Amino acid sequence: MQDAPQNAFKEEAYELLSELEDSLLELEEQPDDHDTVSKVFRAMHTIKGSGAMFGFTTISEFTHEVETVFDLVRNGELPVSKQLVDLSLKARDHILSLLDCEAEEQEQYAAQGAELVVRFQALAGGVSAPAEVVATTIVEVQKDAHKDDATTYRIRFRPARDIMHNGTSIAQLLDELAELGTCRTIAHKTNIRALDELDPEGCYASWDIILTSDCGEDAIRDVFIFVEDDCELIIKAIDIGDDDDGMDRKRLGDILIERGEISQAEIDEVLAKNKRIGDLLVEAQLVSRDQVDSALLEQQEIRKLKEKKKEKSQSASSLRVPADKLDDLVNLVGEMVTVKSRLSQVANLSHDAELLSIAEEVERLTEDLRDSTLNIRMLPIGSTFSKFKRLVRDISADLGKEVELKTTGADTELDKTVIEQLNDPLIHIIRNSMDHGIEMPDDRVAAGKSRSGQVHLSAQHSGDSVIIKITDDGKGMDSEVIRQKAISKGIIGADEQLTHNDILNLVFAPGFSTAQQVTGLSGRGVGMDVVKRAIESLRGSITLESEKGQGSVVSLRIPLTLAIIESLLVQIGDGRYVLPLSTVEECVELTAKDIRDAHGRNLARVRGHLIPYVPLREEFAIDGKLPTVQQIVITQINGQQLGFVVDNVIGEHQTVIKSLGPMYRDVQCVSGATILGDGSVALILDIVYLMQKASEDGRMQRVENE
Amino acid sequence: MFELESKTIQNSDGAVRQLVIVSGDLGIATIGKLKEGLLAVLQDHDHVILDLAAVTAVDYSVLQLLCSANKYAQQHGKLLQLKNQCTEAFIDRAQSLGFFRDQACNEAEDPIRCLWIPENLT
Repeated sequence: MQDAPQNAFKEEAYELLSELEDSLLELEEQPDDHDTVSKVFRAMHTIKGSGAMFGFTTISEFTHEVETVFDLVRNGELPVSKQLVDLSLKARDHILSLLDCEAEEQEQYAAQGAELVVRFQALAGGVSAPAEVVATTIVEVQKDAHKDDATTYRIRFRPARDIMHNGTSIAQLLDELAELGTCRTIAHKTNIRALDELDPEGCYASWDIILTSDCGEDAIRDVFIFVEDDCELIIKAIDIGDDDDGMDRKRLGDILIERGEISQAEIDEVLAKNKRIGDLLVEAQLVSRDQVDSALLEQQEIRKLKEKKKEKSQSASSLRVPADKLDDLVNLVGEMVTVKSRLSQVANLSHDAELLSIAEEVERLTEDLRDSTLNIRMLPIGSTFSKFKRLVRDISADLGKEVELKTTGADTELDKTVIEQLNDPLIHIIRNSMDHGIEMPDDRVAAGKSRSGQVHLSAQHSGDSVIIKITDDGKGMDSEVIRQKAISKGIIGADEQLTHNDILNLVFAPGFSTAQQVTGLSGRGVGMDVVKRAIESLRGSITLESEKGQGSVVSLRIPLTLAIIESLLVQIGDGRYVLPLSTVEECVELTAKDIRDAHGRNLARVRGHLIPYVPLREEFAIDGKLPTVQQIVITQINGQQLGFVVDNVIGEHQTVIKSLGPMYRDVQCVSGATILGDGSVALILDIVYLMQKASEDGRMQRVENE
Repeated sequence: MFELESKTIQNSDGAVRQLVIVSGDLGIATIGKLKEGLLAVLQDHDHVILDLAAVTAVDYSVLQLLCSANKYAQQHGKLLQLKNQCTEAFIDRAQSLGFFRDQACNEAEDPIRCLWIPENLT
């Protein structure tokens, strides 16, 4: 088993590698962007440094070679070329494989690593330096790591005139000080006399040193320990001011006053003229240029520190929590919601005013708690989007097509589990778009389009769902081709009349594949039907629009969360069941007379329309006496309506979704269960499956033929 | 070893300058000699150019001395220029001792003659 620090390194490295990938792709688009080059360099540098620290020497050594090349790039000695980006992406993948495998297995990647190193060295013109001593890197990393707790000190150092007589080297003192952290030094030279009056061995200057360091005041004092009696030393931690005061930095005048250099009155007098205060004060000979410079330095340092503090507070506001802890929390909140319903139920029955008010309070709090807990699990979908950039790049290279991926709405948030489960379907859809949709560059030009095709990935909120659209400007879908194909596969009859949309939807039918030829990319046996099922398992839906020659749009509607849903609670016999409210359209009554009038065909006439229904009592083989008036809950998914007949509709219910135990894994018509206020269990109906089953049983066709 | 060589040079336009070439390690041990040497040259000549290219080390006392020499020159209406002072040793020292400035001191008689501003350093 690996210990914690190593896992922490791995986690960090995964993050860095994904950032690295983004930066490299960005670099390909903007080769001159110096910031991006620095980002790549820093990522490599950190991986190298922490790798060495935690014993990942192979990774550290390999990364060093890449870093060396990027150092050249950073210094402008090597241009960013496609070759370099390609190679770096491969290097990134290599590091990833090294990370993923156990130490013993790293051997197998040695040859690959060596080859990459050779190519990097060739690129760098063979000028790469030998690997640095690992120890120095470690020190560097540790220094970086500690910077977070840094304090800025103002150190005033006034040596006695004869300080140099006993062999003290001021330069050495200041160098020692500089080793403690980031140091900015200003010498006050005002007292230095003209040459004829100067004792060359005397010390006339004094110093202000702005030191940002994580060490304490004592460590700073220690530097001056041997000259303590020969100097005046004032060390003061600079108060960087409160963030809430609206001022983002201390004013120069304030700093000078604080130091006792000048009084407020003097400043006010000078301020009356409208010039930069530093210049004014110097002109007025109230302070020396050195003093102003020193104060300015302090100001800059404070500004930097504040920025850092801001960054830090930003990073502190995000916390890394293992996913299972979050799941536990959501489960607990689920229990709370359940108990809350029980409490409300009891309170309602008791008619105790005090209990009622408590129950209401608990209800309100629980709702807030539920919302914020679910919110914790929300992640921006952008992380998934950025993965696709690489995918698109690689696929277009394989296909010889030119494809540009655009993304919008990367900050749209979705439940973490949903995002994870969306990954594969999205990859499949994008592959399809690129393989079948986007034409070869020459064909595109011939069709009057731009050479490079576009795939646009967008996400946006819409009520309690997120709509993800994958749009391409390729050749679109030929409905006639799809029709013929569906007929040849026996999915539809030869003389069936279908609308354009119906034909498009045929691609979601199992066993359908429009590819003339099975390529390595799409059409490898898993068709759009798998995508559709995956989306539906997320309680989402998928639709397709396409115009021949104009491109296609695949839209996914995905619910925000999978953990707690609004639903409709119904009763059949003694059992209670739950239907997701998002699919429910309306509820109508079903009387014995209606059933008689329908002559045994399960069809209800609702405002002139015939809607097929499924008597759930029959479907689930529940015994017992039928109530005289039953209820039909009419649901709609993708434009198809289906009613479910139940004994009684209880009402809206907040459903905490629990999965059924492994024993019930194969039960298909329920998608989960929930615990009700009285502690009993209600099953959540899998509407999508029930609808599909009804369609297979021929219930849906019958209404179409009516 | 510290050495100081002083010689007169003449430009094509006929202007006469005194070139002082200092070499070796400069520090507290030799600072007295450097002061005497510089002072002597400044007293005798109006335009002194100090070449520090061959200086291998400097310490605080040297920077203080240069600053002081510059003050003296300004007070006496003379011109002291540094030349080739951008050796690593010099730059490092001037940096770590906080001598470099963005703007000249107001004490300087003539601000543009401050030794430590960017214009006069390179």
